[in-house]
Amino acid sequence: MSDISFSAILPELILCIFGILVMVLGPFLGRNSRSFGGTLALLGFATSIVGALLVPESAGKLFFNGMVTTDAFSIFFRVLFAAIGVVMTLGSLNYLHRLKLPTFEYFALLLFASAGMNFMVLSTDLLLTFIGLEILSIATYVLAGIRRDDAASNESAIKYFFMGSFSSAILLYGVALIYGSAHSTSYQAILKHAAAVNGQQQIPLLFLIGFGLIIVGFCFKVAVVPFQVWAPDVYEGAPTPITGFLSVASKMAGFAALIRILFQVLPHDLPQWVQLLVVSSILTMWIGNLSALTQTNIKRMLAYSSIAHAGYILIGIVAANQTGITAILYYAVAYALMNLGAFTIITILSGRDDRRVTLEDYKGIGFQYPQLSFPLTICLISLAGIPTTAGFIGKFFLFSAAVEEKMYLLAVLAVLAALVSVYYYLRVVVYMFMFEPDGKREVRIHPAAGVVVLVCCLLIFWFGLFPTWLLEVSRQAVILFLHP
Amino acid sequence: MTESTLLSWIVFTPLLGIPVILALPKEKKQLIRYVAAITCAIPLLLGVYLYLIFDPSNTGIQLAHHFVWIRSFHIEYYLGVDGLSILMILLTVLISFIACIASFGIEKYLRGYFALFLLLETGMLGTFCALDFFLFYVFWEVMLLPMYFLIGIWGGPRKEYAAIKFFLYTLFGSLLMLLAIIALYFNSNPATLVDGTPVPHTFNMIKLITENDFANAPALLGFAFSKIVFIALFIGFAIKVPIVPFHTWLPDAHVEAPTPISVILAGVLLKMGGYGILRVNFGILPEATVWFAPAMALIGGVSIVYAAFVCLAQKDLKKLIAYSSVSHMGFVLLGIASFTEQGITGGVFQMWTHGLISPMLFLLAGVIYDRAHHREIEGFGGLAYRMPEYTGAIGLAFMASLGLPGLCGFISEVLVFLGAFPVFRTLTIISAMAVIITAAYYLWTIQRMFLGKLNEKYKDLPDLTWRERFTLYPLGALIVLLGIYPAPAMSLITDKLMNILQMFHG
Repeated sequence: MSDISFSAILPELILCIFGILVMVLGPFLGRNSRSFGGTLALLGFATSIVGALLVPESAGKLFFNGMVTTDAFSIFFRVLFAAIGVVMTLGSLNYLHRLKLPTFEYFALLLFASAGMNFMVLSTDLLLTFIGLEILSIATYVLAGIRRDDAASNESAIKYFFMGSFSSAILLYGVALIYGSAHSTSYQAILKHAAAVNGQQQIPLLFLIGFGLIIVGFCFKVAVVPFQVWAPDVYEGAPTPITGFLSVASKMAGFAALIRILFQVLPHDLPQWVQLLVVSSILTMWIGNLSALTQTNIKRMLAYSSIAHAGYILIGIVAANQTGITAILYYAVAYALMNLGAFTIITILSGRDDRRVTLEDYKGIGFQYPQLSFPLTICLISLAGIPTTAGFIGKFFLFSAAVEEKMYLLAVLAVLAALVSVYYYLRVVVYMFMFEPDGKREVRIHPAAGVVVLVCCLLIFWFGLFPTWLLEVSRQAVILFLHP
Repeated sequence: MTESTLLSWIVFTPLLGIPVILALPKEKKQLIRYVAAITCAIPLLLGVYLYLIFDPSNTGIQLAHHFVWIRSFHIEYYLGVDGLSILMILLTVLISFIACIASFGIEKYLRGYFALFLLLETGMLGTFCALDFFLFYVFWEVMLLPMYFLIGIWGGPRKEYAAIKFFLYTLFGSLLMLLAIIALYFNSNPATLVDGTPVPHTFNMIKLITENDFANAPALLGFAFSKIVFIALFIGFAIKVPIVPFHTWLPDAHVEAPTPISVILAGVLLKMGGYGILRVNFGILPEATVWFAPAMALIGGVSIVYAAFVCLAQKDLKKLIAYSSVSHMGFVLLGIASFTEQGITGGVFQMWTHGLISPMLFLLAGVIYDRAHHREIEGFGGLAYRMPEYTGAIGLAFMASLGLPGLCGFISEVLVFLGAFPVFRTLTIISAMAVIITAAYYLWTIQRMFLGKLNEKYKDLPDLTWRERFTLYPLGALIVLLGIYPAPAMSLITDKLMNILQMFHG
């Protein structure tokens, strides 16, 4: 076949090759070269960014029998995921060392997870999407449980595994039903089929249920209400950098795939899912934020906060206009910056056994470790959506999208939910700056993690004050979903 | 620096001081203080220059600094000044400088304090200069966070509670405002950006005022568009004013805040509410303003009377002054709701006079707190014998606040009453009666603190220091000067206000 083009999946090939390299070379190098895995992973992610930028962008052309696209949307997320990989690698180097965790396995899995996410966003076939999702999921199940001698980490992995398998099964069942109705799993064929039946009659029930199940499957993955219950336990128990990864990368991959399915495959005059997702969005924001209010464990608090942020992103999906979908992509970047920034700092502060993650542990560190507390404050106020930060611009555009579609009630409820969220973000700040410290503690900041934190904070302000470039890139990336 | 960038310089000079201060070693406390003071002095001098080149007869926007900021959402960077904002800008640079001098007594985390202080000043100045609605909102919020930290870290015993209460109250209001801003944007007429690009909607406040009529915009959630947007904006601003019943954050914030921050809070932050109502509510939604005016006057009257009575019951000097602020800001609402020339002029002038008097009062409350470490009114007595200069200063401030003729508070209050009387007769009479209550609580306070038998505990209290004189005397002088000869301030605002009035009468 002439449409087999390896340059279309160049970044994924790079990630897989580096993943295999790390695995193969790891045993030979042994324990005394811990930083080798990290270096290799870093190289892999960096090359993958370059690779993604080199991929020839073409919206219309598909590769590999119509399974792979290289449109701007996929390239946007492939670059984003590789960048997240860089941040993850730099941010967790010292953590792995401190907790004596296996570095080669960790970085290999990270590279594979990243490849899986890439396949989710570049696929134009339900089966490939599913395979990408499984590559991501299986890698993250193991990463969540990589602290084998820690009960919480094991619990997290098992829970994540069961819930993840469950949601995969639902998704796969949906795929099967769609296949039964449309006789194909390719997006193009499904769209054609939907358009054909749509012209003459009611959309078949099989098709409708199939899509419902697919949406539910993704809702599990991105943890929106009512499919969010697994998230807090998993996030709390997982190793701290992995919590950051789960709450950012795998969530964004889920949203990206969902957006493609909703806007590229689903017939546009199917309003039922909009109503359902509006309700889900409101519940997600409120349940996420209200539950976060009472948390004393910061990881758990940020788990609920990430649920709430999924609710904000859903606003963009239900508004379904240019402002909304553009805002989602912008928000994905902003959210990645602020959440990964926050988790990198929490990782640094988490101590020898990754346990110092309660509010009490943050008492009075504000003026003890200003180089950590100031960046954390910046990340938190960005999460809270205070102006001059990227988080504000993102929220502003998401809310604007709702107002533009005259969804006033949704906008009002979203704004009030954001108000509630400010309380718990600022509570961390209160503990850091307004309480007296309990005593001195040893905190060592690895230069790699320091750089990550610094870059995240600078970019939060940069994109908050000068968002034009990123907005324009986001708009270019979603143009293919907009129907005049 | 050209004339078109003058405003940007005024707004952002404080920001330039922050890296300098953070770069200084923390042991050099005196140096940090001087750098901060110099950084605050530059906007003050630029403000004086602004006053000199400002043309009061021109009712339009002057000295505009205007370019496209976020093109994808038609957001512009647009600073400008007119008769309404110039008074507020001058007040802000003056009060910030004085508060900066008053901050010399701060000892804890000095660099952080002054960095936040300067950020706060930028936020305040930006709010008064911004003429793009989005930019306005950004500055409005920028000011919020430093305030939160300044209360929360350097405040009194219940600082965390006061700080978060202040923050959540104001944020609630500003989020309502944000929705209103977005709704206005999507219902605005096509316009052009400053570089000539045509756009479907606009955030430009001047265009929203002059080229849009929201009276017939489609209903929103079943309510008339202009009315519900008006109320959302009004609540946002009124929380800042503050009005009864949204005032409860104010006494807490004031009591816990360190003295200089109370000064800023009372002197400038409260004025943002009044400024916002005049600029945004009156300007963009005149029909809804007419519809809401009686309620606004009533809210003003209730604030005046209720807060005056609450003052009578206060035992803490700072709390008393805080509640008197609520009462005096009520005059602003009463005045501007009348739509008469005197009423609006009086309301705006009241913002200015209150912006001079209440900082002086808070500085004076700080003086006694620094010496006696408490502010219980009943705990003192006969201080006049030990601290004659202090007593004189506080006497002047009290008299100005209660509206004694010859001091500036009198002029604004009389103008408000003159303007409001023909429109809201009963309400004005009741509000005027509250002035008697005001006189009562101030005189009673003087009697309890300064007259009578000297409390032996305080027989060694020193009188004012030079630093305190340096902060108090300029304010006192301005209070007297504007009380005798208010023309310099009045001439700036009247033409602009006539412009606003025409929207309602013409």
